[in-house]
Amino acid sequence: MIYTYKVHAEVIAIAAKNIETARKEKGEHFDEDEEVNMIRKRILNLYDTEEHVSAIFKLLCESCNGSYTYSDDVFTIICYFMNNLLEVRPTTVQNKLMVLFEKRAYSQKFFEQIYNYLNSHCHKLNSGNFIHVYANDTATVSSACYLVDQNRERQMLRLIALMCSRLNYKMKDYMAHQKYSDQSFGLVQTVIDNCRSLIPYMHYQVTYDTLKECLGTILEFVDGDSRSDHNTQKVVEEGVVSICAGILDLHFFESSVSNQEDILDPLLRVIEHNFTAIKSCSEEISWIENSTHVLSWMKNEFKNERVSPQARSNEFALLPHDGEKVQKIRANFRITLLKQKVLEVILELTNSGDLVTKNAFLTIYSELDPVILRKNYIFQSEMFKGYHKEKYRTGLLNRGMIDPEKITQSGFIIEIGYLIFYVLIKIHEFQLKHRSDRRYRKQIMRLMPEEVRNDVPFSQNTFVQFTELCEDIYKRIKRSWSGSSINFEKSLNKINNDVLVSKYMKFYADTTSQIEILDDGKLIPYTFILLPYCRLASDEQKEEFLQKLDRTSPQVKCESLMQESKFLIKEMKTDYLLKNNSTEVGKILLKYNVLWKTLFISIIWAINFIILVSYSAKHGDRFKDPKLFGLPVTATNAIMLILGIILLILWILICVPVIINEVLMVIYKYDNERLRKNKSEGLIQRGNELQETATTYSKYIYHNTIKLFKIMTDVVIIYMLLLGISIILGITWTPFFYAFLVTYVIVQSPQMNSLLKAIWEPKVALAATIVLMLLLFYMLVILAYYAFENYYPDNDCFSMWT
Amino acid sequence: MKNSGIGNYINTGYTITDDGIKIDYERLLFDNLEFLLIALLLIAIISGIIIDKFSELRGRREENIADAKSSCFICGRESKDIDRDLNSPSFDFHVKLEHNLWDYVYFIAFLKFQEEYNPAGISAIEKYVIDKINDNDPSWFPSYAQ
Repeated sequence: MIYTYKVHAEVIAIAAKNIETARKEKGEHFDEDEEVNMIRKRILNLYDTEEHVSAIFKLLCESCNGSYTYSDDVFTIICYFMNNLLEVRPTTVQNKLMVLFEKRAYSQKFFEQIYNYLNSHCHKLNSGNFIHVYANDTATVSSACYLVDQNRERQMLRLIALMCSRLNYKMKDYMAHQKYSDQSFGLVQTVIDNCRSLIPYMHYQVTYDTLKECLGTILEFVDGDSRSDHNTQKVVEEGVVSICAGILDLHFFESSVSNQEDILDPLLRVIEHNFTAIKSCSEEISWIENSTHVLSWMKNEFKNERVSPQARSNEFALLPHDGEKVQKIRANFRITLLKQKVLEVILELTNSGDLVTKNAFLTIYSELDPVILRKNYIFQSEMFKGYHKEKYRTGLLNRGMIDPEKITQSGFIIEIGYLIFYVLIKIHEFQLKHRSDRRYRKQIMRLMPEEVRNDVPFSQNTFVQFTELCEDIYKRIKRSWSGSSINFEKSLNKINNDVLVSKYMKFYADTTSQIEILDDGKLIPYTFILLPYCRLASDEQKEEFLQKLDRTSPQVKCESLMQESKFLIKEMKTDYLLKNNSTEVGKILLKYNVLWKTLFISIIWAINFIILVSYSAKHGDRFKDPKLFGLPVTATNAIMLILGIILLILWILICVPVIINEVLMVIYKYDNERLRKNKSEGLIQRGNELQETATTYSKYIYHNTIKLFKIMTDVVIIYMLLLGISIILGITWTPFFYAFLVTYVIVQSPQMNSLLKAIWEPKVALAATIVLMLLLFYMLVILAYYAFENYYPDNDCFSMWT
Repeated sequence: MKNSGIGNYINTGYTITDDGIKIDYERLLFDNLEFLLIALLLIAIISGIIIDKFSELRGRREENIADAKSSCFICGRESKDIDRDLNSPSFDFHVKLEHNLWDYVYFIAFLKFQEEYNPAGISAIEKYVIDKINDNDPSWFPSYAQ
């Protein structure tokens, strides 16, 4: 007891001393939050020693020793302190704790303490004794202060989660079976029971916080590969899937006001109105702590607008099912976050070993109705679709972060949609492997896009692009006429339309993918977002890339894939940036590249056909008087001029981006090569640092000259420029220059291209042979000059040139 | 033979006289030498180089296609092994959805994006692969599994 307070007092004293010193030093520039964080970190660093962890551990374990008892507050303080330590130095503290748990039998007291707390919490909730405390003391019970969060259950749950975090399998197993106990306290089961008890009261802030922490702890139990099978099995058996199904089935609160604005989902409004609604009514930030990437900026906003605890309690401690008003926005946002957590848990359940996965899937089939997934999915998709006005790909880039200036690009809203899609993919894969429960598969498959259902890749051809272009133009015109409004009611009516769901699912199918990563000898499935520019890779680019890969052995293949991919990525990225950083018209024009190429080739054929049939000496001047099938010369010239101008426009659309891309690629490749060389010569360069500085300017000129030379001699750039020059000369001088454009057809045809490649690739060998031929010619000329003077016509052999 | 190479420029080595055709054997040797060296040998070398390259390119392409059909690029497992394994889906499904070569390229692109624009959002597994890529170490690919 004395020691506890001693530690606590010591911490407070150090903190106060540090804060005071910093305040004195900085005066007006003292930033309380920043300094407090810094000091907090310093203290925690100080306490992250064997001695202190051991002391804290001892305190935790002896908390319920019969000889002396200290208050719950002290236990909470220590839990809080331990949590902070685990957050700052997770691995080292985890290891230290594991050693202590394994070596000292009295660790069971610690688990017993947690077990008792959580169980009594469940019991009080189930018997209804605790409700009035939550209802009345929401603000005070859950308020966070500098050192201690008084929500004890949350503290303990977080402690369990943090101890198991970072795939600490040893600790996870220990949580399920504490080996020094007479009987295991079964914390996995206790956490799940706690979670189940909390669901009916989740509209209270405190319950919600604890529930979210519960789900986080369960997620930690099941996180990882088959080594956590035991826990996963237990979690499945204890009915987590039914809890997940229950949370996924929660409806979002809707307003009773019939105003169009209020029909819109509150959650949508939250995002749409730049979170102003949340800002004006909330202070407590604990419920968004785990979504830091998405909402980190919000925290800063909140800090400046804290309201009094009384004001908060009036706003939040209200019951929805008693007919009272509900803090809709807040409640809906909470539901969204819970659903996100739940889907993460389901995904993890499906990632374990075969047997466990099978059990997990069987439970999912029995508990998780496809309709629940469909409802959640359509809800998110409709909001997302309406909100982003179908500009999906722009927002996608910001899925992991948020820019307050461009709030329209919030990615958080689509998180649930993504997670549902991943769950569906998992179910689909499992069904394909085991072919069980055809009925369920059929139901699930109805939600999947056509491509996933049939495993047919999405093909891009001219016709598809043309129809897309028409659709695109139609949508843009429609939008400019009608503006954009989202009819939420209409969206809900569409829920039953599976074709629609399937259509939206296509978005996720097109923008996500899954791979397997080898980590520590285990294959870990990993789902990620396909970046917008990845979808732009053309067939030619892909073919060229595949040709470059070294296929000697599987390992070499992967190495070469890694090496070559960076150039392809750069190329795709540049292409994407060119297409997206232009005006609306420019974007449309650049988007339909395949269509323009087809048009370009068709016009090249047409104009060359006109040249072929129109020019004749019989019509007049063989160079100036073309007549196309009896048309007058002026009309034929006009047709050729119009086609020439169209060709020039198409050349700008097709070739200018290619030239810019190629220039950037040449520079990138050169820089990359230089970087590689510098890395290999790193030691030498460091030694010559002074000399390096003196020659920096000359090196800059040298490298830029080399780059310019490489650009000027790049075959693709030269060829594209020649095409442009031919078109300009065709328009301004004579149409005969259009004949050169036929080479573009050769370049575009893969078969013709391989012929050209066969000549171009051995260029050095060919050049050497030609040089040899010229040398032989020279020798023979000398021989002929010397020996066969009489054989020269009319004996006029004056030199070797004549 | 007369119309080839230098012989094209200078008069013929065969002169018609009253006694018949007079042959200049020096010219005959010269013309044949020139024909062999230039017309036969060097032109054949040039066309040989082109044909050789062409067949090499075709061969490489066919090899690539055959390789793609016979084994998985990412894990190196043979198609027949995958098809025979009752616990795994078909080879086509495997290379299309499980070990799609392009997905790995796009994943590298995704990691580069994360590294550049969203370093705070990089997960542990992403960090692991980023480090491997920066070290030019491909051991995170499934082909390195024992």
